[in-house]
Amino acid sequence: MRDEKLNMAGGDANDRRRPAGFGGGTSSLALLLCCLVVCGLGRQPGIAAEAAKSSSDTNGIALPRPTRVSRESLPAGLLRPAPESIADLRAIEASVKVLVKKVSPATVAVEVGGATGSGVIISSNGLVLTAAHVAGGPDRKVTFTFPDGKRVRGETVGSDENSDAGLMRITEGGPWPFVPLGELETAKVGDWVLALGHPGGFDSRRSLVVRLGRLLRIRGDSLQSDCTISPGDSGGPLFDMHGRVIGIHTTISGSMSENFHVPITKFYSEWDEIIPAAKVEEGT
Amino acid sequence: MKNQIGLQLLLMALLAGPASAQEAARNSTGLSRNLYRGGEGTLRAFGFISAKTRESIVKLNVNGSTVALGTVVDAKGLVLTKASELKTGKLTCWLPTEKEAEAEVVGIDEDLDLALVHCRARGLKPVRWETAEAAVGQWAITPGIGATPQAVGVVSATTRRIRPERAFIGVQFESAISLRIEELMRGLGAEKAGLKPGDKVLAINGEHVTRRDEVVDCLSKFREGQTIKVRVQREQDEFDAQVRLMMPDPDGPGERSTRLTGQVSARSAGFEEVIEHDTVLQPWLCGGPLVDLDGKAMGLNIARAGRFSTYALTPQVVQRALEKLKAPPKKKSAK
Repeated sequence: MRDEKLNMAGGDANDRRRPAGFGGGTSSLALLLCCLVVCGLGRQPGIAAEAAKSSSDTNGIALPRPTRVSRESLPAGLLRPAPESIADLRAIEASVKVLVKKVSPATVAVEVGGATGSGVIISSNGLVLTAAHVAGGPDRKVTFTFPDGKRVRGETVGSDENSDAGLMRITEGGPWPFVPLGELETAKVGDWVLALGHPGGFDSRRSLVVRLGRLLRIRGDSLQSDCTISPGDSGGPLFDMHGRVIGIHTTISGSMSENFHVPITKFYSEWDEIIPAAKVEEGT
Repeated sequence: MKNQIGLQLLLMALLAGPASAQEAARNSTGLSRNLYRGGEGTLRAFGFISAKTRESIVKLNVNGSTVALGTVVDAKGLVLTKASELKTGKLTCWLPTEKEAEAEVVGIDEDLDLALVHCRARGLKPVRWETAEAAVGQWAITPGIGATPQAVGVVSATTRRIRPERAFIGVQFESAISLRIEELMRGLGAEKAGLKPGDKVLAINGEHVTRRDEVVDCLSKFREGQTIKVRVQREQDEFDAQVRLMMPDPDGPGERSTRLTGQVSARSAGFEEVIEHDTVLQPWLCGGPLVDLDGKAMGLNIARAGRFSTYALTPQVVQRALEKLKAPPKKKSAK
């Protein structure tokens, strides 16, 4: 059922499946109806920025606003339909190497209920974006592992099964390294993107795994790239060349190089879905 | 289900709202395959690398089909490649000049899965090795003998050792002290070699075995992808079977599932030191150099390991192995 639904959203993904084989991967018609009522009719849907303004603070759990950038601030070599020269290739390489250093410290491996996935820290107080099928329901215990091996505790906050957007938080210490959030208004197909995560699950003998690709499709509820993500990457971040999170790894396809990410805009528009209803009621 | 599709479209319509309709159309139709990271349009930009490196690469064929690329290590035609891909048959090498030349294996390093091959060809140039350590995020290019590379990717993890995996012949014995085969694991080597339940295993590569732990001991000396000789008793007959060691598929019987990983190399673990990169490389295109934007070899592609990774041996490890392979053999080791 879920896959059927995702096929509709994802277009030509005939063979789409979740990178990690856990979590409740099934949604029901009832749930979808419910979602339609809540997010389609219950409040004004809008583009990323507006949605972010209206729904980013729920019960004290605030989603940071997207960081605005201009495409022109990137080296020209990164913006061409295809690289044309060695200078373009060097420009891409230089950007990627800098970005990897910048965004790696905020990318974590997550362990929830015996399963592993990935996540990314988006605030100094330890909010972690992940996939709904990694987080599962609220208040589950989570262990986060940083690229340097440091392990900290936390809990799941909630998730929106429909979009596969999930949220966790670190419950000890801080401040934590974090990365800025992006939006998709300035994104274009062909943009170079970086996927980070722990494919195959966390492996203490291996560093965080970096993959480079391009945006293949940008739609309201699906984002596709040719980064070669794999089971275990679920919940890990997709970065644009400004170093902003623009997607969260959700599903792989039958093709090595046509994989799916939850668009970051889903976290803005479905924020009230992600935070459990009980907490929303308490807050209002 | 129809109902659901209707709702889905409605949802999409409600949530859509990018600024320019034209832009939105392009974004949702998608990128031309030609411009994917592995697409021809992208690979063309790397043509200058191929121009620099093609004389340092050969394509190795067995009975006319390509089994690997080779890395040229001296001007007289010595080439390193991935040993386990060299099946038995007539070995030849294709040169960038589109000529075919005879080739023969002169040495094998089983630990690294490297074979030293002599190609009877002129005009080959040894590859230039990179001395700087590979950095994560760096371009990792796999040139072939053509005008554009076979594939490109980036270094995706820091250099590390890959432990060997235990490999199986795919039988279940009656008991710890009886080597009569009770069951065969579907799709693994023993079944493919024609063994049957009721057969009794007598020896492995000439080594006499009577207990299960002796078999396990024997097999631990070999790796996935290697073929061993199993002496079998079936009723009154005795015969030798060539059995390939394989990894059982964690998701089900038989060979490892390729649905998720794509095709991987038969030997994909047990390497002293590798660079991991995210190039989507066909297993039969291992053996060639992995080069950086200067056209220098930062490694030698040694295995397609999974959906997201390809391994390349580091220059240090390769050069050390090469010295040993080139040194005249002191004593032929018994095989």
